[in-house]
Amino acid sequence: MSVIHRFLLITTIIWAPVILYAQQKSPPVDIGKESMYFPHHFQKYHLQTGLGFDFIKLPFDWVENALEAPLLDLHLTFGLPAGFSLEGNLNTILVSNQVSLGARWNYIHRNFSFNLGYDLGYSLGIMNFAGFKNTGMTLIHYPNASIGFKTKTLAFTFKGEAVIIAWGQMKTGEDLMSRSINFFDGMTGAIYLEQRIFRKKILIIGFKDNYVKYYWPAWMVFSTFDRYYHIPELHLLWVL
Amino acid sequence: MGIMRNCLLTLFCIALLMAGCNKSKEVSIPSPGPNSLFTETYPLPEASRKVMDGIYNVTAGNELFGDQVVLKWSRKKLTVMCSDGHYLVLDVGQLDSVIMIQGYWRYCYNDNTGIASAYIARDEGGKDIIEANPHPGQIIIRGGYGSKGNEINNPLQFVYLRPISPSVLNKKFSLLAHRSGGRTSDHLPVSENSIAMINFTEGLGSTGIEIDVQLTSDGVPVLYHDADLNIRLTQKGPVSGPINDFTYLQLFYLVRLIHGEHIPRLKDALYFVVDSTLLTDVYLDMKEKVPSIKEVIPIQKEILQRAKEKGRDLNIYIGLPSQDAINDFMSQPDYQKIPSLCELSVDDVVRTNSMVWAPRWTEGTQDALVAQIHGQGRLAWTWTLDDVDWIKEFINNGQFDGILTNYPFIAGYYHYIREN
Amino acid sequence: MKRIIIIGLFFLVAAWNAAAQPGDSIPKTRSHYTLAIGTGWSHYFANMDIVPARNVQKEFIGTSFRFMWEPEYRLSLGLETGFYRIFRVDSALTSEYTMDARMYMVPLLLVIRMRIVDNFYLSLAPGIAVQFSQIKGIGETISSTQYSFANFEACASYLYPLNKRFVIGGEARFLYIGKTNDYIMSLNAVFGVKL
Repeated sequence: MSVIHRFLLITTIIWAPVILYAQQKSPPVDIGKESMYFPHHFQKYHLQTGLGFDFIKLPFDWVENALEAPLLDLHLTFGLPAGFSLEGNLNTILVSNQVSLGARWNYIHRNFSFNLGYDLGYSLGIMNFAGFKNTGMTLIHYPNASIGFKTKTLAFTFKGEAVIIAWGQMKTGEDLMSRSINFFDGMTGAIYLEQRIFRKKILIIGFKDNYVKYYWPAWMVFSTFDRYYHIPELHLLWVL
Repeated sequence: MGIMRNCLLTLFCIALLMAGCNKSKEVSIPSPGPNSLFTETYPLPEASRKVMDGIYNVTAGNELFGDQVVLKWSRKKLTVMCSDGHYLVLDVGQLDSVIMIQGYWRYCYNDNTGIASAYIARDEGGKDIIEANPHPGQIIIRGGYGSKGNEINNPLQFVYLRPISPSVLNKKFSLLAHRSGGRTSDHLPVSENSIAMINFTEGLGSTGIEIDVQLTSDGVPVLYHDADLNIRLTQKGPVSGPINDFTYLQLFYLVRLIHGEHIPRLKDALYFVVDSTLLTDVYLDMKEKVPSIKEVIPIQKEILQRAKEKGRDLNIYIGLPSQDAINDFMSQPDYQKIPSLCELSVDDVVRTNSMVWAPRWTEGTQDALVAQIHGQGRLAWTWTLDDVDWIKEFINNGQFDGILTNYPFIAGYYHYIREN
Repeated sequence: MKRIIIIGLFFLVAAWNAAAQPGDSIPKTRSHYTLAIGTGWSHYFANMDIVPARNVQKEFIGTSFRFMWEPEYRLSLGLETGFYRIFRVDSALTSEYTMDARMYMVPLLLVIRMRIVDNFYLSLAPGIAVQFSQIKGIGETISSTQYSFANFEACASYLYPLNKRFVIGGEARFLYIGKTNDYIMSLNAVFGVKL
């Protein structure tokens, strides 16, 4: 599939809900309750789903030629009693995939709020090159905290998290090529802006800066480097 | 008005943000400056240099350089090879009966670097070195290294333990440096696939190089890795796009490699190898987007002839990385007499009569196949091995005759420290 | 960290402006689509290492096309394309050789636009771009095409409604092209029609 075809496919997927919901009337929305990243007391036992894309820019040290394609991002929240919530994420670019699941405790004070959380991520990458099936697997801890601020129509969230590789390995065929255990991989900082786009639907725009040594979507180009890199991500998420 | 100002500020901020995402960090080589006492020294004769080669215990500086290091002279630098990826590249001179040493250290996996300075006193080996005594009683290198800027703030001491084993020195084992000596992404001070890198790489301990060969639109083989001219490998200029689209003259005038060098012609690079280095092996990695073997063969022949005339021990192998390259190679007259290196199967090696079999390292040490290759009087090299543990494993437990790596000093350490 | 601060600034500026507005729980308009065409001055921020900025022609005429879906509230989504000449370098290399190098670009971007105050919008647009270059001099003319996958645009727009169907206004945009690390700025006059 050509580059342009791929781009059109992605934009069509993004546009599908637009076409679906066009020309319908909109009920009122409390952005503080409908948002996904903004820390708040999520509706108990209610599952909220967001779907979108993460655009990434990898460091030149890692990629010989441009390798830039968006990751599909499925984001889930589930409300629990006493200010707790669960959060899940599935990111995929076919050759790299990560599932993460975690819990949050949320606290609100007027228009401000914050949460503390922990996620555990499992990433799996499979790619054939040089005639071999190569696989990369990692188990990653993501302890995190977020601070939120909302206006009548906008919710801002600043999120920071640590990235700790609990376990990781790369294989070529059945042969183990490398294994890593318990190393501090770096930090991420992110800013999310959530607001209504249509009816009760929320669009999330986020920017995340990963300051890490190992970046799971690029497992296939991970080398022996022991350097930190800034890897920016632009998030676009539609709350379904 | 205020809103407009804020928005313009925002746009400016975003432009700044984007500006920060691209360029690789440069790591400059620390230097003691022009007032160093080293400028007063005289070069050490060849025979004296050999006395310094050997295995040394590290009695100060272990936190960086480990417990043992290998010291090995190349054409003009003394390289200190450590077990974990640290290395020192040193200039050595003599002043009266004292040996003065000065240079820098670097850790290959990140950008850590610093200055290093040392000396060997007359009665601690200086006299033996200057007199070229092949059996020095003791050599103690005393000095210091810096961990930041040009300041020396940590003690350094190496004590001579033993010479490099004669059986190791006599064994042909190639330390092949990737991309003419090192990668741009390793933040070295010269560009990959340049003549400057060929000049630089012996200081890293390499005895051979791999270079990437591509063909210009007017049929000139040049050194370049990527398929296109890009800002990863070249300075930003008015030209971009597939390298095969451009003539050599256009590349010469319009393109500079990331540290300012020209993209070299293969012929110029190989002339430099034969005339100005002591490198013994050149592995031509043919990027066969446009078949170029036909253009490369006469250059290989010309340089090998020159090496023969100069009495230089030099091998130049045309790399065959794919079936297409093999087909291109086998369509050449007398291909079986042309020195080549095959990356595919052992059967392909026989078919092409390649002198070297070079499988990817991820296929393992493949002892039985390597033995089979040796049985046919051929060599076996593996590529591209950069991890310390795997280099150690392949050298200690494998039977390969050479390793292609971005870090020849690591392979050098594990090769030279062997006792037989 | 610098990037976080910069992006933080972006969102804070947007928030400040947005918060200064009355709440928009009541839709301003009904959902509709808009097609807008813009043209105007574009400027290339010359950042070449091997050609001095004074030798680079930086000012050109650029064109943009936007198709936007504008729901009732602040945000709109759309697609943008256009045509820009990025630079031209026309200089003597030696007494014997001259060079004429030109680069053009067609971006294809996914636009997320936010109304900050009435008629005033900020947008952010990631996407791909096709770059065309042409080199004349030193032998035959070389024309090549390449793709850039990581491109971003930031744009400020003022769109004044002439009536229920047509809008006119202006746009200021920064466009970053990842492949070649190029930046251009453009100021366009815009004419739009609500479909």
